[in-house]
Amino acid sequence: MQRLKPNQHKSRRAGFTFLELQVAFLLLALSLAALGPMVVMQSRHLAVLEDRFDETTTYHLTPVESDWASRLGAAAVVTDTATSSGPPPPPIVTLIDQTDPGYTEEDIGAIDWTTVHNSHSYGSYQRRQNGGGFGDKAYFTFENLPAGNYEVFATWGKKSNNAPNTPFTIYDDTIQVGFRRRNQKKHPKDAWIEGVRWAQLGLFPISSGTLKVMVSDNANGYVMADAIRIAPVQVNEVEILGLNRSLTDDSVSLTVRLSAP
Amino acid sequence: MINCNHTRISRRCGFTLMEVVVVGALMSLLLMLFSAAWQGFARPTSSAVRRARLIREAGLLVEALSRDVGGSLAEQPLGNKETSRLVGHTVIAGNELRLCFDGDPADEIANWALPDTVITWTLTGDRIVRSNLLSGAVITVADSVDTFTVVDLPAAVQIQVQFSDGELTRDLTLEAVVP
Repeated sequence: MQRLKPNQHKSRRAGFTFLELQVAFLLLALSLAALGPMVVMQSRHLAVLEDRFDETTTYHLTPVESDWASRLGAAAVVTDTATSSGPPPPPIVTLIDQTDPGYTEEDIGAIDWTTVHNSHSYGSYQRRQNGGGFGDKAYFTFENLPAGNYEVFATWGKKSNNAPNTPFTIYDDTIQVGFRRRNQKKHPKDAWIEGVRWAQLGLFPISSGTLKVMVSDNANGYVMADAIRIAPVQVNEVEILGLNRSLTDDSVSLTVRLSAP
Repeated sequence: MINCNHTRISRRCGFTLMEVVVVGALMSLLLMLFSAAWQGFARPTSSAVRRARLIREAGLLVEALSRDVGGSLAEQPLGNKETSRLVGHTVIAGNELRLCFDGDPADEIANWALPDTVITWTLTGDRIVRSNLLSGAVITVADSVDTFTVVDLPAAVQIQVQFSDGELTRDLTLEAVVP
């Protein structure tokens, strides 16, 4: 707005100049024009938010399957389709002691299976078959196993009157896949796992999901049924694709392909 | 407009009162026209803000719930993986969800008492509140909630929530896998 000069008459009226009004209207127009992009941004933001949760969809919250991931704070997975019909399956059983549900016995005739204490056995107790070859058996049954190869271990507490040739028969459900005899007069010595000695019975392929180890009394002495441990083993196939020997030096190059079964 | 280039002192320059009045009248007319356009502009804008707020509340609810049903108690992310695991749930009166987290030592059984930790999800006023029954810690998870319904399903719970702000409503249905 124009200012009055000191020597101007007091009656003189000052008004807005054309330039002042132009600037004012320009600023007003700019302010209004800025609202347009704001509305566009807001509507796009809203569209993104509304796409996230639809009112007609049921969203499924499924826990992560890894215990450690969940322990370290992993949240449940949110999906718009059901990825699981129930809670995650329990981890597979890899060890059966003689007190666990996977252990069963067949005792023919008189009662021959008894529980005996032995500080070297798993959990300090084991089942003893008093010998005689009556056809008594003990079974360690692992169920719901993924198909694959499993290393099987057995343990027992040694004693001088134990059988030197206790038979272990390994089944893939009902099909026999292995047979081993082990000397139970001595400590198992193939592996030391979690403070316990284990005897290796071998690596066996399991396709039915059920691995069964049978201990029978067809032996010369007391037969001990204590605990069986299994461990899934990934067996890789190695295929040699090429073998080249250099003509100029001593180097040899080998080309192989590794694949999981 | 009066031309101020002439130097006579008595001559005033700038717009006359009549000019400003005419311009003011024209501006009023323009503003009336503009206000009609504003009706169509401001109302959707206001509605969009409220809709966005309801969706944000829904998002907060989903994120908080996904922490609890993720498998372990969010307050204790470290330590043995067997402790603080989600081991059980129960639904009270169709509007309260209780989750039981295993204590230390872990027994994988929902005892609903120490050393286990019990977390409840309830509707208090227009807010969904997550409470730790043992420590007394209470957290508001979501606001502007109209209804909160929990239905027990086999190995899962279905949670239906309706958010509202004035006449605006938004429904959310969740199905959480819980032991």
